[in-house]
Amino acid sequence: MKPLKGADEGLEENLRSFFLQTHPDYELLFCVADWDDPAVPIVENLIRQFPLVSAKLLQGLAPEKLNPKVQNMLPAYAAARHDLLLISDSNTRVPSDYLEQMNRLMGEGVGAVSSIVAGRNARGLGAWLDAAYLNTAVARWMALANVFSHPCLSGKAMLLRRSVMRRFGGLKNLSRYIAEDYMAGQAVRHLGLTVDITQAPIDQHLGECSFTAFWRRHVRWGRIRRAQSPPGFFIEPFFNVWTSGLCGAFAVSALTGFSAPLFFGTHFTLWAAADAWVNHRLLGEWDVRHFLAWFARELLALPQWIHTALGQSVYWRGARIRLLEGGLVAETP
Amino acid sequence: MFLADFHVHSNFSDGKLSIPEVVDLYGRHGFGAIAITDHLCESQGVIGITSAYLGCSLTPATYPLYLEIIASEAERAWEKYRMVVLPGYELTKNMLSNHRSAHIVAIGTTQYLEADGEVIDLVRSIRAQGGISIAAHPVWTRKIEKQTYYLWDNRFELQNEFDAWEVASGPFIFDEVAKTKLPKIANSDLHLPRHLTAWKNELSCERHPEAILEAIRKQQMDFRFFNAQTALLRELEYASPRSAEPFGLGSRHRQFVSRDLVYSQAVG
Repeated sequence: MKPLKGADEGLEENLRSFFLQTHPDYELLFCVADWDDPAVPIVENLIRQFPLVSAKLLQGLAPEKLNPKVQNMLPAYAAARHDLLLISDSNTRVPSDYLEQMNRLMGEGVGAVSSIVAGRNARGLGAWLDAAYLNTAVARWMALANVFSHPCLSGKAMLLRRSVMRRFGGLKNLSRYIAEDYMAGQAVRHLGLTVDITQAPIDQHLGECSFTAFWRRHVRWGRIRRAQSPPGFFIEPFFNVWTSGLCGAFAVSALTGFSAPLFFGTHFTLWAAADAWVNHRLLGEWDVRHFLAWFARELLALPQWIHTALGQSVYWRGARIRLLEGGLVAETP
Repeated sequence: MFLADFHVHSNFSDGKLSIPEVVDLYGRHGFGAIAITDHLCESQGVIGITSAYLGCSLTPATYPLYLEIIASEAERAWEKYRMVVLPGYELTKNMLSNHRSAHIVAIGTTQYLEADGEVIDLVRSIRAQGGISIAAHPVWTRKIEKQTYYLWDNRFELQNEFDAWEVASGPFIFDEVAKTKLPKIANSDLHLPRHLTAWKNELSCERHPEAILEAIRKQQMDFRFFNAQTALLRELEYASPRSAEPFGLGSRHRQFVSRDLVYSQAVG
C-alpha cells in the first residue's frame, strides 16, 4: 500500500522499484487523497507500463481530523487481497527481492517487519542534514531497539498481517494517532508478538530539500516523539555528541581531575568514528560531505530540540495538527 | 460451575503477560470467565504521571487499542476455551499515604474514566456504565508493597456503593473483610503467571457477560483456592465434594486458608 501526496523528485523511479519485485504474487495499491494529485498521472503511466503486475489506484478518505496518511490508505486496506500488507512511503526505493526478504522474516511469533532507511541522493543543505540524521541517529536507534526486542516500526516500510491488525481494530484504529507506525509497534507488542527488521536497508531518495524544510520536518518528528514518549524526548539531548561530551568532560574533570579537553576529544572522536561506520554500512561509500553534514546536524540538534520542546502543534500536509498526550490527533483550523 | 478471576493485569500496565497470553493461561486451566483490569492511574498526581510515562497505566491514547485487543481476544477465548473475557480497569489512586490511597476495579466497562475524581463519583460512573465496582485489596495485603486503606477506612459510607469487596487477593484471605456482611469477591490480582495460584470465584450462572455481572451483584458465588501447580488435581477437586468444599460468605473459610490443606485434601 503506497500512500501518495504530490510528485516528489524521483517518485517515478521509487514506484517503479515496486513494479519490479520478484515475488510471485503481490499487488500494488496506490492511494491518493484526490484525483488532482500530481502523482496520479505518474502512477497511471506505470500501471500501463507493467500490465502483468496487479496494481490499482484508489482515492482515500478525507482526513476528518484524523491521521491523513492512514485515512488515505483505508480504501486500499479494505480492497487488499492478501493477508500480508506492506505499508510503504512514496519516497522509498527498494531492491527487486525486497518483498521476499520481508516475507522470509514474517515467521512464527513475528507481528511486523520493518527496515532501516538509508538516505541517498541528497541535494541541498536540508537534504544533507536529513541524510546525516537518517544514516546515523535513526539507524543506530532502530538497530538498538531491535537488539533489545523493543518494537520499533518505521512508517517508511512496515509489513503487517491483516489478521494481526484486525486484533487491534485494524488500520482504522490507528488513524487517531499521528504516529501510526509507533502505535502499530505498540499494538504488536501488546499482542505478545515481536518486530523484526530486514538485514539490508532500503533507500530513501532525498533529492532537493531546503534547510527550512529540514528544520520543520525534524521539529514535527520531535514533537511527535515528545507526545508519544515524553521521558524519552527529555533525555534526547544527552544522546548528542556535544551535550553528552561536554557534560561528561565536566563531570569526569570535576570528579577525577582528568583533563576535560582530552576527555571531550576522545569522546568526540569515538562517537564520530562510530557514526561514520554506521553511515558507511548503510551507504557503502565514504564522502567527506557526510562528515560535514553530521558535524552540522550534531551542532543543530540542541537548538532544534529546544524549538521542538516549545510547541505542541505540527504542520503536516497543509494542516496544523495539535498533538495530545500519547500522540492522539486533534486538528486545529 | 466454573472458576472466574476478575482482577487480572496485562502488559498494558504492569503485568508481564500480553492479553493473548493471559487468555491462554486461564483458558488452558479451564477457567470460565476472567476480567482484564489494567491500572488506570490518576492523570494529575506525580505517581500517576510517572506511571503513565513508564507505560504502567492505561491512558486515553492506549485505551482504544486495549479495548480492541480485549474484544478480539474475547472472541478467541470463547471459540477456543468457552471462556468469557470481560473488559475493565483498575482505577488507581496512589498517594504517599496508604490511608489516602485506593484501588477500584471496574469490570464490564467500555468507557475511559479519569481516575482523578472523588471515589464516590468514580464508583457511580462505573455503575452508570452498567459495570461492576469492586473495592480492590482494601486491607493489608499481607505483602510488603504499597497498601491502599482509603476504602476500608471509609467502608461505612461506601458500603452501598460497591458491588463487591475483595475478601481475598492472591493466596491470602482477608479476615477483616470476611467477618463483615459486605458483598465479597476473591481475585488473584495477577501480574505474573505464578499469581494464578490464588483464591478464585466459583460461579454457576450462564457463561455470558451479563449473567456473570448479575451473579456478582447478587453474590451468587463461592470461593475456591486454585493451585496452578496442582491444576491436574482440579478434576479430583470437582469429583469429591469433601476435597474442595467451597466456603460460603463468612462461613467455613478458615479451614481453607492454608494452601497445603486444599492440596492435601485434593490428593487424599
